[in-house]
Formats: sequence, structure tokens, C-alpha cells
Amino acid sequence: MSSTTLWYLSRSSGIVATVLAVLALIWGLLFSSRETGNRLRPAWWLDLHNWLGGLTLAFTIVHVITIFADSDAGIGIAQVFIPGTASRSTWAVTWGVLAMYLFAIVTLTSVGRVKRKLPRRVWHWIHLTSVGAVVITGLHAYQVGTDRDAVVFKAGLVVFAGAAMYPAAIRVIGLVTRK
Amino acid sequence: MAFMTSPPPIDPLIADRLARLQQRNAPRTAQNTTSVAAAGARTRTTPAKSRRRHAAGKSRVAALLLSCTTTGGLTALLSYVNHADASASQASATVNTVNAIGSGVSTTAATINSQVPATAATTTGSSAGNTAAGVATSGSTAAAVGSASAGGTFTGDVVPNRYGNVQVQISVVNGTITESTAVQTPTNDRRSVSINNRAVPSLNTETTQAQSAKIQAISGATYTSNGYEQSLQSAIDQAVTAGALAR
Repeated sequence: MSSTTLWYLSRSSGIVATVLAVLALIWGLLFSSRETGNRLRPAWWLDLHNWLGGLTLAFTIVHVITIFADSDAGIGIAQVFIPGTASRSTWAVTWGVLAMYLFAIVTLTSVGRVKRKLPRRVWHWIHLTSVGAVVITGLHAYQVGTDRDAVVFKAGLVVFAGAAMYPAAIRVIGLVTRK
Repeated sequence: MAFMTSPPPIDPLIADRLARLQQRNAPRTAQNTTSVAAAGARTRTTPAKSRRRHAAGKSRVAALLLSCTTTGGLTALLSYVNHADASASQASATVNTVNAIGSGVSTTAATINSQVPATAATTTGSSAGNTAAGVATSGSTAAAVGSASAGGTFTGDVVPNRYGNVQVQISVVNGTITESTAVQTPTNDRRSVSINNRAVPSLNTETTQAQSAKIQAISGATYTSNGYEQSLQSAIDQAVTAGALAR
């Protein structure tokens, strides 16, 4: 596969991973705030939320692998796993590495066996870091993405940020009113 | 004693209720026993995992297919857009070349018109026609000579790469490239800017020394060097077409 094709693939998989992460966040927030409506069962919402989270991790891995395989990108093993070691766009790549770790931790701690072994409170706090992971994913895309100057990309970021704000607001308001 | 030997009589109503209760519980108890046995059998013969049904089974498949399709579609779209940009820059460079030629010819024709003696306009028909033909012939000859000696500024194609665009402009005087400048260089990040600040002056100098696009790439600036060379070659091609540079 040519370097250019790998470059295109890394861009597209990165965009899809970002969209999946935002959707998983929206699904989780709606489910946890009991705003899932009456048409579909809560089990459906939870199941799809888990699946979207898994897909996010999968496409993030595809994104990382394609960038690593692209010899012209200048990303080696150290840059993939150690934050702050990239010579080009250091902070932007660091955000990406941190987001990758957070997605992996959140997803793997939500697998049945691991989740049952963790105390409920601990699992909940780990799971909340997914919100931060989505935010720094957006930062990573905004700072280093090749498509960041495209109008469509900027509009998409705004739309998805707004779409995530709505269920987040519902969740926070629900927490506050409950207390 | 009598009350120690026999149990007290049960109220018929209570007895009836007890009987109905037993009947109601008996099938359920039998069912539970059966299902537990069956589950045990199932566990022994079939792994429970394979019988697990996901609440959003179809939605899972749809999400997976949509994600894969979107990734493939975006990859194809990015490839198409990149090629379209390259073609568009090639087309605009061709238009620039035609315009350069056109302006060069019109400039030369204006020069010839100013040089034609005023008496040619007052001669009679045939001689005027011959003179006009002669003027036209000498005009076209003068146009070729005029263009060959004329210089100009020629801007090459925009060459996109992952870090930004590269575009080169050359100045030609008397058939010699006197100056070469990069009018566009990648500025996506500070490292690109730093690399180009070092590489571009060297490339400019090499161009004026080589008087062609056969220049050495700068180490550590591969993308810029390759883009510079491509854009420079297209600028030189335009100059050759316009007659400002010899082949």
C-alpha cells in the first residue's frame, strides 16, 4: 500500500473514530440520564452504547496502525506509545496518544468479567474519563488533522460538539436536581 | 385420651383452598425441575455464550457496516479531491501559459504597428495589399524575434502534499533564469515552516545556478524539494512555450 493511500486511510479512520466516540458518549449520557424515550428498550440503548465504544477503540487502532505504517508520517513506536515524543506537532500527537490510552482503559474495564471485579464506584470514575477522552480527541483532530482547514470539517466539529452538549446538560441537570 | 390420638377435623373450605394451592404449585414445581435439568443439559452440551442474544443485534451490524463504508468512502473521496486539485492547478497553469503567449504576441504586434511607416496607409489598392502582406509577414517574423528576446515572470503549478502546497515562480531575462522564488510553501505547522525556511533559499540558489529543474533535493525537506522541482519544471515549460527560454 502506497504512502499516500495510507495517509488517506489514516485520515478517514481518524474521522470515523471521532464520530463513533461522540456517538458512544451521546448514547451513554442519554442512557444514564434515563432520557431514552419509550420506543426502544433501555437494553437496546446500553447494548449499542457498548458496541459503539468498542468500535471507537477498533477504529482508533486502525488509525494508529495506518499512521505507523506510513513511513512518511514520521511516527514510530516511541511516538505511538509515549506521549510528548513526537518531533512534529508534539502537543497534538500527545493528545492523540492520551485519548488512545483512555479509550482502551474505559473499554477494557467495561468488559463483563473485569467490570464485575472492580468496585462500582471505581468503575464509574474510570468510565467518566471517557468524556475527557472525547474532548482531547477533538483537540487532536483540530490541531493536527490534515482536514482541519476544511469548512466541512469545522462545521462537523461544531455540530457534534453541540450534539454532545445536549445530553451532557440533561445529565448534569438531572444530577443537580436529584441532590 | 381422645384428642391425643386423632387430628382435629379440617374446615372443608380450608381443605379446598389447600388442595387448589397444591394444584397451582405442583406444575410450577415440576416445570422448574424440568427447566433446571434442561439448563444443566444445555450447559453440558452447548456453550451459553453462543445462545446469547444482544438487545441491539441488528443495530450493531448496521453500525459496523456504516463505519466501514464511511471509512472506505472517505478514503476514496480524499483521493479524488487530491487528484482534482492537482488537475485544476494544472489547468490553471495551462491557461496562464496561453495568456502569457497571447499577451506576448499582442505586445509585439503593438510594437510593429507603431513601427509601420504612415505612408503605407496612403498607397493604392494592390500595392497597399502587397505592402500590407509584406508588413504582415515581417510582423510575424518580428513577433517571433520579439518573443524570443522578451523575458517575463512565469508561475508554475501548485503541487499539493500532505504538509501544504508548493508553488514556484521564476523570472526570465534574455533567455536566462535570473530569479526563482517559492510563492507558496507548506505552513501547516511550525516544523514545516522551520524546514522550509532552511530549504527554500538553497533551492532558489540552485535553480539559478542549474538554469533547469535538475536540482538536488535538500536533506530533511523531501516533500518541499519534490514539490519545488515539479512546480519549477512547469514554470520552465511555460517559459519555453512562450519562447522566453530556449529548450
